[in-house]
Amino acid sequence: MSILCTQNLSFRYTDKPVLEDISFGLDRAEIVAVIGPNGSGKTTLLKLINATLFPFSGRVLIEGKDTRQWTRREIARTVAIVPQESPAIFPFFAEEIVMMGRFPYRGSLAFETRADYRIAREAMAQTDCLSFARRRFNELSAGERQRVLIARALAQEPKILLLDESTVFLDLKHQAQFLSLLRQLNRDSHLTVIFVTHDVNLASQNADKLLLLYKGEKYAIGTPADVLTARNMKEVYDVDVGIDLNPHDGSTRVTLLT
Amino acid sequence: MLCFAALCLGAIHIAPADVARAVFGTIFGNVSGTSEEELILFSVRLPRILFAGIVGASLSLGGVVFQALLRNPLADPYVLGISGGSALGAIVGIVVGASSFYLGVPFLAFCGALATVFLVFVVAGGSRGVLLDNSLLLAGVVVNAFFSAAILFALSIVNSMELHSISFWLMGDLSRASLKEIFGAALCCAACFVLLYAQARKLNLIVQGEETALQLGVNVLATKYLLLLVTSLITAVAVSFAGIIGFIGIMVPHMMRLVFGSDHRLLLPSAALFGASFLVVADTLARTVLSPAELPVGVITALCGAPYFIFLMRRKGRG
Repeated sequence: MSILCTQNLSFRYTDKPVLEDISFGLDRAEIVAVIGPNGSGKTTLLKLINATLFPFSGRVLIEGKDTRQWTRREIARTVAIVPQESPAIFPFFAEEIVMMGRFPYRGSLAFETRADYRIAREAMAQTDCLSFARRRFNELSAGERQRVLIARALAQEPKILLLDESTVFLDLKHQAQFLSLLRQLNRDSHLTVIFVTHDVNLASQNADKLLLLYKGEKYAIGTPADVLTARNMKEVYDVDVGIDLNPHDGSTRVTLLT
Repeated sequence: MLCFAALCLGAIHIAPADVARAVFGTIFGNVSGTSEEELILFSVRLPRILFAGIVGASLSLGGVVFQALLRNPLADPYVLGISGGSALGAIVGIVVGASSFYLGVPFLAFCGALATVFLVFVVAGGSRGVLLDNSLLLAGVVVNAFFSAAILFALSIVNSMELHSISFWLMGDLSRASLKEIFGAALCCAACFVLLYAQARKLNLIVQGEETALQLGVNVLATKYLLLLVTSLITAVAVSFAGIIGFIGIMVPHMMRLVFGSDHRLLLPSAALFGASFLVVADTLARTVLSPAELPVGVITALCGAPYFIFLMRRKGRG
């Protein structure tokens, strides 16, 4: 059964359509990259998938059930998102932020259980956050904050993980760590990952499938080799590129020709 | 909170030993007689202390919740114009002579406050089902400005006797409380605290941004309406009885955040307790500094609180 499926999905904030007639289906444990120029509706698509927004027309089905029929807590236990940035107006500890990922599992009154602490600690260990667990979130660097937000998403124990440009602030070491963590979770826990990125090579190297959005429409979906063609790049991004195979891992490689 | 108010009894200056004797005498049932001091103690000061505690706690709770909801550290219970609406209601009450009925003026002030909240909701576009923080804040500012003008207008047409009574109320006045009113306010405050505390975890999430809260499983819109309603109620009660006592609603939450961190499960009770004690102390000072004359308690809260807040900020900057 496909874990996520959109049917004729359309969305508009005002009169101008942001997404138009998007249909696709994803199987469990797929890693999908969403690429496209600025304003092509990538982030909006993520927000529709986790029911932050609801479609103007069409449907989003998670495990076969329309997102409108899920309760907030149910969705939060199934789909987690790592946002681009999170406002830090009031000083919370990093570990308090991660612990918030356990909210959908507890009543509003209940305090965290031992299991919650274990899961939160584990998530922090996976993203290398334990060393600053007791520091204030707003005093951390952008990359550290991003790791905390990733840990919070992992603490939700989701089946689908949505990433919105989640690697941009990470240094090389933590990028590598994070990408291999994703692969490991994908392999061991069958985590489905959907990530939005501008880095087409990152997408090509790490995703099974690419979804290319252009002006709110699904321009192409398929393997990196199918989607990343010189013709597509020219038409969607208006750039000339050279396409070849990366000698290190055999992935499709895009080189900007300027 | 009760045991706390009892503690604060020691702060009164009748001669602490007499106070202790009177209190314990009453508790253990062997009342030694109704001296003048005891009369003052139990029928004037005790109600007033209790009342100061309730108002202080209410305003602080209101501050915590409004700052979280609007994600604005400068928000306070008055930011949505509740003070303005409430004051206008009370002034109307005083002018038309509602003070001759039990709870007449507070009731009108309360109506004014609730009407304001409703008005702010409508102006901010609550009809569309979305409450954007900024629009809410802006609507509050606009409504508040309008009411301020209306209050000035009202003040300029009433006669001087009423003027004095009104302006004293506007500056914050804890002296009008009767035991009956205090009982009502206490019940209301306690009920509101329970309701708010039940939302503490959700408040933590809402502070992270409404979208984030939504994505972590909070039904944001419903929670927000409930919180706004409860907080407006608690604020309206405080304002309608005690007038406009500034500073507490903004500063107490900040102080508590500096000390206890931002977790609302800790923040709500500590702010309530500290707010209560702060106002009790401030009111005691207001009564004694220039005695027999009395200062408006709002003057004291601002005069004492601001330096203390600066001290906390600076200490934190060094640590």
